Amino acid sequence: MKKNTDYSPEHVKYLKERKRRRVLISAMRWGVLVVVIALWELLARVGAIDSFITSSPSRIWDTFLTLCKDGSLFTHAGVTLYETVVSFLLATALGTVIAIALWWCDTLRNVLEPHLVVLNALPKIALGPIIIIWVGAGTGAIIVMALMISLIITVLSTLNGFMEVDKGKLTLLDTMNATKLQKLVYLVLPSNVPTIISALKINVGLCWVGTIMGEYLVSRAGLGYLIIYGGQVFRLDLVMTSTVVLCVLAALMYACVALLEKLAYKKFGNN
Amino acid sequence: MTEKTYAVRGTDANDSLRKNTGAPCAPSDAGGQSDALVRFENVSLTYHDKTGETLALDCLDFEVRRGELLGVVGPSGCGKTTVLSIISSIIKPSSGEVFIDGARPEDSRDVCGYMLQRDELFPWLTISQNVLLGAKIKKMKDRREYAYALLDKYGLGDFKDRYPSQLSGGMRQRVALIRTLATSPELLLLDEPFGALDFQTRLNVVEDVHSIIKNEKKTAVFVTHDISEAISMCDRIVILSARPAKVKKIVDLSPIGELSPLMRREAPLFQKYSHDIWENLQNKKEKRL
Repeated sequence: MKKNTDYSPEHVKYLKERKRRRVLISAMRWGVLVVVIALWELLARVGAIDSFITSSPSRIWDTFLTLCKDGSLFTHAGVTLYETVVSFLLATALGTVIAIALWWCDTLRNVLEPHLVVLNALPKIALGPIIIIWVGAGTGAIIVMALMISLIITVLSTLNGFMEVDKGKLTLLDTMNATKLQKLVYLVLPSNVPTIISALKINVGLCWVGTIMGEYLVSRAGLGYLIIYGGQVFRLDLVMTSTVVLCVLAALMYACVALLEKLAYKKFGNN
Repeated sequence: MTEKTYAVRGTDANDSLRKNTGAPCAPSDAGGQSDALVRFENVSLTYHDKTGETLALDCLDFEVRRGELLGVVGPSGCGKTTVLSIISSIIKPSSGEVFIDGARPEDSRDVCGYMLQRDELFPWLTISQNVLLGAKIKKMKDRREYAYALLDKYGLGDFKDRYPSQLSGGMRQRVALIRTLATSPELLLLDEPFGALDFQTRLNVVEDVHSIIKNEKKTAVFVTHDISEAISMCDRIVILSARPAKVKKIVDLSPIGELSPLMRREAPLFQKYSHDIWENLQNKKEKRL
């Protein structure tokens, strides 16, 4: 690492300016959050907004503490997290396997592609009743729901990445008389690690959507259940608290995938 | 022309066809039959796509002698690369015969090493892993030592564990050549291997590649559209016509054969050869207009 003294004064100034801007942006990001929360709390306290309808940060905090104390928050959050993670892993694994199959067999791909596109366009929530009848009302149905929402898009985006593998590199493997399996293992999969990971990033969001939607339809536990239940009995504190917890969990899961992406880009990106 | 295209499609009757088409059967230069590594005997190729069929190669008849560096030049799109694809058995000719050391291309795949225009190094593999890729795919064992020796010999020994992005364009192209050499092919197929480099780097890499090929005593077929590059590298040059490609002329460069590529560019004969080849490429184009 070079020290500031190694550079010309102009460059030092430039670096300082850059750093100042970064700090400023970061401060403003947090600032926005703090201002919104403070304003919310303030307006609720002075009675400008009805905290029965809007809740307030302090009431959310109290509800959060109560839910923590009786442990029900962990149960509900755990159930939702479990459903999301399972459907996420299933969607990724199945999606990749199906994409490999479609890449492998041109005929299969040509035959199925329009069907996949139509399935992708279909609002999956419409399948809710069918899923409940077929799978039964319970965790299974929720996982299938989330899987439905994220699987097709995983297949399509991964397949797209597979089909766009550098033609020159495929020719190179042709000149080495590589088999199809060797092309897959040595070129198509490694060069698509970034594609697969960006599909994961989309999947995280979609799986949360699917899980919560599933819980709206059928559930006896989970954050989605808490939100629906809170809405029905008009306990907006409960709704808001669950939403905030959901926010934090989704952000954490997204951060994990983003970290994975960063590591993968280091190795598999085109630099 | 069209009749011939149709005739070509009946592959079973190749031998009688060859007589019927009246194309020359004997190699263009009768002298060097015994030391030929590759022989093209009246090879034709027809491409098919939805807009129709195109005769790409029309009765190509030439040979690559053992130990020589044979250049193939021709107008762009005339099918130069197709010639290499046929030798490495990626494409089968529609008619005619190709022999590599007396065997068919599909039975002599390990004889050929192919080098492409771009280095096509895999960015997620280190230099040593890249160099050993061919050996890995062909399931050859114990190539590591030889490959490392080549890397050391040609100044890349310190970069074994680096990634391709950390190397300059010229170095990457040398790595690509060593990757090709690592499977010990007898015959190198070079498909415009310097096209992606800037001029300065190119002169140096041509010098390097020429000396590596001669050092390792390889036979090579070198496809290019760059006339001066062909003259500076090759022992003989096959000039192809525009599509459908026929052998237009074979130029023997033995008078300047002992010189290095850079020295050849200085040689008085260099101009004469350039002019000769340029004329041959040019004529055909004018005819088409």
